[in-house]
Amino acid sequence: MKKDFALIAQIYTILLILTFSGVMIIYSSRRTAEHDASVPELAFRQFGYIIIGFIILELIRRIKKEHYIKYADKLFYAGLLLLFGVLLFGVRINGMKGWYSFFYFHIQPSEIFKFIYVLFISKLYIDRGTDAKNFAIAAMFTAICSALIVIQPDYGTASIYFFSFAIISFLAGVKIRYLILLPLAGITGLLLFIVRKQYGFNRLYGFFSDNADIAGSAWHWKQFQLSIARGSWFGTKIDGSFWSNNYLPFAYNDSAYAALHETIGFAGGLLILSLFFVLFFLIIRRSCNTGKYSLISKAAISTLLIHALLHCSVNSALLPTTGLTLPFVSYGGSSLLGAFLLTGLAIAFCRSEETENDNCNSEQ
Amino acid sequence: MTNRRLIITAVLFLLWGLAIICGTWWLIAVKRNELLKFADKISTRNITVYPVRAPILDRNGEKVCWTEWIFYVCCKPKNIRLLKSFCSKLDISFAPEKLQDTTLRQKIPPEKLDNAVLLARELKLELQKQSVRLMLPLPSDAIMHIGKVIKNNGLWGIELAGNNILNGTPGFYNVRVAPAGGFEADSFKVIAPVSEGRPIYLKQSIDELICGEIPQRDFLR
Repeated sequence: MKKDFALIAQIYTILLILTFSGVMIIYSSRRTAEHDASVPELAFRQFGYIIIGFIILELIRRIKKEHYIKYADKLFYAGLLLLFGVLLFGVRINGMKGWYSFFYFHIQPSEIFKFIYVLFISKLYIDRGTDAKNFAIAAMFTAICSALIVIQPDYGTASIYFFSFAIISFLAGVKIRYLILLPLAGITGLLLFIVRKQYGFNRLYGFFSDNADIAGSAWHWKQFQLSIARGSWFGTKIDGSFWSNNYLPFAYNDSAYAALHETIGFAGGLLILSLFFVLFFLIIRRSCNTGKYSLISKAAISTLLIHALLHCSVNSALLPTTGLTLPFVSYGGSSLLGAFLLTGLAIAFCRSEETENDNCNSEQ
Repeated sequence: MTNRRLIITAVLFLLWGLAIICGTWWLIAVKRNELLKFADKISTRNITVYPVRAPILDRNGEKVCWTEWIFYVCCKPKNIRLLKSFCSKLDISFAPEKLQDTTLRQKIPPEKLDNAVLLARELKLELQKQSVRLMLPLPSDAIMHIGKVIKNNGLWGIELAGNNILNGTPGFYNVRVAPAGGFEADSFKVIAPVSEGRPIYLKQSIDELICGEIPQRDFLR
C-alpha cells in the first residue's frame, strides 16, 4: 500500500511538471494567427483541461482490473462505433474530419480510443495467446482502427496505433518471423500516404531533399531547426520566444517540443524528455511483478512513450513533419485526456495485488 | 522471454531518446551559427523611421504650425457591421470615409484612443495613423507666407524654405519582423540614428500675425 502511494506521488509530480510546462508554452505563444481565441484564454482553458484530466486519472486508476477485463470488448466495439460515427457526424477542423462537436467543446475520439485499443489488443494476446491466428486477428483490428483514422485523414495518429500494435505484439511474445511483416505493412502505409496526398509527398521531399523549397514544403521542418537553434542551451526568456510565436506553425500543439526548446533551451528539453523516461521506468519496474495482466500496463505506458518520442523526433527535425501532439504538454483537451487515460490504465494494472485486495475489502 | 523483450524495448526507447538528444545537440552546438544566419536572412528587414516634423513657433514660443497624429480604424466594406459596433461601443458618431472603394475608415477622437486600441484588437479591426499639419486660423496673407505641407514636404513659403530644418533626418534600423506584423523588441540595430527636426521661430507674435503682419523667419534663433 505504501509502495503504491509512493509510486502515485512520483507519477503525479511528473505529470504536474509536464502539464504546467505545457501551460507555460501556451502562455509564451502570444501570437496565434491560426486560432480564434486569445492566448491567455487558451492557457486558462488548458488549465481547466488539466484539472479535469487529473480527476479522470484518479477515477481510471481506481477501477479494478477485473472490470477492465470484463468490459474491454464492449468498450472496444463502442469505441469503433465512435470512430466510424465521427466520419458521418464529425466536424472538420484543420482539414480533418475527426472531432465531435458539443457546444463549445470538440472531442477527438481517436485520441481517447487509444487506451481502449491498448486494453483490447493486450487482453486479446493474454487470453488467447500469441500464435499466428491471434496475431492476424489483432492486426486486422488494428487495420480497421487505423483505416477509420486514415479516412479522416489523420496519418499521425494512425501511425501511433501502428507503433502501439508493434510494441504490444513484441512485448506479448509474438514470434519474430511474424513481426517482420510489420515493417512491410508500415512501408505500404507510407506509400499509400505519399500516393494519396500531395502534401505527404511534399513533406518527405522537404525532409530528404537539399533542394526543397524552404518557403514551401520544407518550411515547417526548417522552423523546428531554427526554434531549437535560437533556444540554445538555456532558452530565451519566458514570454519572449519570438520565433515560435511568429514563425513556427502550431507552436502550442504540434510543435510544442520545438517551442519549448526555444523558451527553456536544451536543458529544459532534456528535462521534459527525461521525465517521460522516468514515468516509463517507474511503471515498467512495478508492472513486472503484478501478474497475468501486467502486459496492459507495459503496453499503455509504451504507447504513451512512443507518442512522445515521435513528437520529439519530428520536432528535432529527425523525422518528416507529422501532426502529432506532445502528451501532457501540447494544447488540446482530447490529447490531454488521451494521455491521462493511458497513464491511468497503466497505473491501474501495475497496482500490487495487496492494494487490489484492500480495495475489494473496503468495498465489501 | 518476455522480460528479455522488455529489456530490448527499454534499450530501443533509450536509444531513440538518445538520438533525439544528439539531434538537438547537433542543431545547437554544430549548426547554430548557420541556422541563426539563415533566420536573420528570412526575418530581418531594414526600416526607415521618419521623425515628426518640428513646429513653427511665434516669437514667444507658441505653436503656429504643428504636426499631429490622427488615428483611424479601418475595415473592408463587407465588415461595416463591425465598424458600426465599434462606434456604438465607443459612443462616437458613425461617419466612415471610403478609400478607393476597398476600405472604410473611421476617425478616432484622441481622448478615446486607449479604449479604441483595445476594442479594435478585440473586433480584429485594423488601426492606421496619419500625420497632419495643423495651423492656427490666421489671415490669408500670413497663411500664404507660412506655406502648406503635403506628406512632410513644404510646398511654398517658410514651410518649404525650412524643410530640412523642420524635417530632421530619418533613421535607419535593422529589425527582426514577424510575418503577421510586429517586431522583436530586443532586435533593433541602429544603422543611422534618427535626428529630430528643429523648430523654426518667427519674428512676430501670434497677436501680431492675427492683426495682419507678414510672418518672417527669425534667423537668429
